[in-house]
Amino acid sequence: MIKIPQISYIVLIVFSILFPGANYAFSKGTAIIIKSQDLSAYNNVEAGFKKECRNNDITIRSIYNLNGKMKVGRKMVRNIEKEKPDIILTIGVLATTIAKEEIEDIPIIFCMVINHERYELIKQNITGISNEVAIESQLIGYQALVNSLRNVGVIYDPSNTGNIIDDAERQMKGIGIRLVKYEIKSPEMVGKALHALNGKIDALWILPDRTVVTKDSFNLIKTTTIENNIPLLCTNDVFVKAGALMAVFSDYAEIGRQAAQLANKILRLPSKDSLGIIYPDTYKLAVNSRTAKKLGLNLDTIRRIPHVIIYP
Amino acid sequence: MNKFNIRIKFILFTSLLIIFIGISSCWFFSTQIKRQLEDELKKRGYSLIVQLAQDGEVKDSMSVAQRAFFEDPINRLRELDRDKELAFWRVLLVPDKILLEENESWIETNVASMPLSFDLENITEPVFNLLSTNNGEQFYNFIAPVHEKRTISEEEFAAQVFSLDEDYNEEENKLLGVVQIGLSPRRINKKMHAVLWTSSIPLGFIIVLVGIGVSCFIARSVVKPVEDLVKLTDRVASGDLDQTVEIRSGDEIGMLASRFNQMTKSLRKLMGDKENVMTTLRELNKELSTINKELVQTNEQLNETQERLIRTEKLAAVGTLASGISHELRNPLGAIKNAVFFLKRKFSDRDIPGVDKRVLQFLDIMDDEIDRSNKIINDLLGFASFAKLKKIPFDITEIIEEALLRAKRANKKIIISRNFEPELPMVEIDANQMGQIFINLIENACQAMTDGGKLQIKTRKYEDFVEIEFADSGCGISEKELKKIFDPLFTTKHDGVGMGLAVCHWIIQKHEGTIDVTSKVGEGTRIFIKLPLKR
Repeated sequence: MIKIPQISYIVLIVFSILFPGANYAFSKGTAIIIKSQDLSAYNNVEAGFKKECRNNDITIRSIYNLNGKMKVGRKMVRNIEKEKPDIILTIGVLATTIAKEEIEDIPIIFCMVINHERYELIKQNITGISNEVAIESQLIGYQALVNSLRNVGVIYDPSNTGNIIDDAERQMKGIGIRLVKYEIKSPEMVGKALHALNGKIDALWILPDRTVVTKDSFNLIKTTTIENNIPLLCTNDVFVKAGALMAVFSDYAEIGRQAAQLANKILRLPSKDSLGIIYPDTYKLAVNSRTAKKLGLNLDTIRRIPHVIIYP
Repeated sequence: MNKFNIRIKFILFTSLLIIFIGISSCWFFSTQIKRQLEDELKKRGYSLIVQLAQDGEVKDSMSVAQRAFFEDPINRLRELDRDKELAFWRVLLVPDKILLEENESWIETNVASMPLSFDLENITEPVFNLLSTNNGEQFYNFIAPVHEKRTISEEEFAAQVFSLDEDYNEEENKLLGVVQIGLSPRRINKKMHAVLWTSSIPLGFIIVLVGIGVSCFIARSVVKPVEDLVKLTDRVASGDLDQTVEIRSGDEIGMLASRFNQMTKSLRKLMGDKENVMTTLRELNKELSTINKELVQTNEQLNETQERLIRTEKLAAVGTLASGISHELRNPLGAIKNAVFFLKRKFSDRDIPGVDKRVLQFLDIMDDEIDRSNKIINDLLGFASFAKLKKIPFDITEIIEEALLRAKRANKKIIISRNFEPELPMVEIDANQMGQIFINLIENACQAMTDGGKLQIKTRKYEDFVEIEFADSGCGISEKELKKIFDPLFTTKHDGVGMGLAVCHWIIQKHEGTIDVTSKVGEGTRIFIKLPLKR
């Protein structure tokens, strides 16, 4: 027997198929998702966004994957404009930068843009969620396991992450932590930087700097820090999985959720202006138990803290 | 002899060499230019195909298989092709789908008719080959693979940061297909043609002309001195050693000229020395000839003197012997003669019995032989009586005439021819002895002409001599006998003693004259007597 609620659903589905515009009539707005490429992290964001959109009656009209291609992406985005969605979520730097250039009058929410300040994503229709957790939150997270943080070393390329370092140095100084900086211009200088910082630092902080973090250099950083008993602190759990001690990072599904909430908020606003760029409202702590053991760190104290993920 | 001289050979050889070099240079230059143009075309082709293959829009268009998206990349490609060499282009998707194929209107071949001639999936890097169409057109064909690749480096890094590349694998850089372009070689062919006619061939022609000119100049500068040397050598060979070569350079030719001059100088010196030596030799030879002549004369004189001495000694010996034995033999012979006379008279009157009739004959023989022996003894005694000369000036002709009267001429057929020089000077002689000589010579001549003949007697004055010649047409004397005829006791006659001519010779010598004989067997004999005039 088919019950009445079931019949209602069936009727609704058929109606939706026959008259797709009718769905929008009942939603607060329509959204389009543009992914820079097909990454699991981006897919997690997409999933979180979709879920929260459903909760907020925001209809996802289309999902575009640019596959990492600038030219095709640009053409796709021009087509998107014709769909006239109420809001656009861009995931990743490619989708965000193209949307910024091509779309003028539709609100855009971006996320998953590493070091967004480099791309000057300041525009009246652009709202964003920073990929990096706030420095203060990161330090709190690191200190949960590594108590004696006095001298934190960092290797960076000023052209990539100079803005983050300036901000971090200022904030760390406020809480009595000295940031020991070492500038490099090429990945080949990482080894020299590690040698220079050894013995001067209590932990090494790794930022998402493309000059510093490469496949080869990360392995060198990981092995060098373990050999010299230096905790390796990161901004992404991927590195923890790969052997770094710990990372304070934002959960990607939570980013999607937060983006959907921002979309809901913007759609409610009459002007639909930018809400600015905000930090993730939640973060997680990832710890590599094997590395912690090698460094002689006890994980008992952090196991009780919520959102702690211990690998493996 | 080779009919080509060294100048022609040199010019021919060097000209051929230079023509070869000119053609080779022309060919090399053209080949290099062509290679350079081809290399440039290849570079442009590779550059264009790589730009096309790396064009993000091309990759995107291929990944979505949208032919319409190629308009902009192809326009960009045509803009890059400043020399307008781009003839056709083709885009193929794996496995074998032709997404786009277009060609410029100015080529004769339609790109659709051009074979693919390559395995699309095996192309891993840009490749080049020459493509010839059925209608003879040729294209420089470039093919490059197009791989799907993320072009946004930030997204690559994002993939690395967010998933440590677990979502991004280089191996997934899959082959979308290939792009193919064809460049027409028309422009480089035109350029090559222009280079060939404006540079290569004129250059080769100039090289050949200059080369031949230079070879002629070199041949002249090398061969001319050699020819001069040859001419001078001919002159030197013909004896003109004063020839010298002008030395114009310090090279091998100059050295040759210098050596030639040294050689002619040495030859001149040698010839001068030789001439001096020859003069000296000639003088020496002349002196030697004179000495030799004198020696011969002296020798002849010596021989003559020796012969004369021997003959004199012989004559003296014969004279001594004759005077010794003549008297001793004459008396017995006289007694024998008388006895023979008595016997002959006795037996001739009557026949004596018991006596052979041939006794009378024997007695006649004995009588004759006794007469002959007496004659020999008389001759010998006569010879002994010639020891002293009683020379007085006398007319030779008169003596000859008297001798002709007194001489016994057995054969009346002999003709006497006289050829006496008139007014012949008087000669200081012993007329008796000289008359005896002439008689002896006339009798000898007559005896030689047994069958008759002619005896010519000539006299003439010759310098300080009077020469008397007796020439008969008798049997003549052999050369062997001629040398001995003046020797005493040498005779060819059966009843001769061999003293006549020896005595003649001796008497002539006593008169400080000479007697010479020439004779040919069968033709006759000529005797010349020279007697000195009174001094």
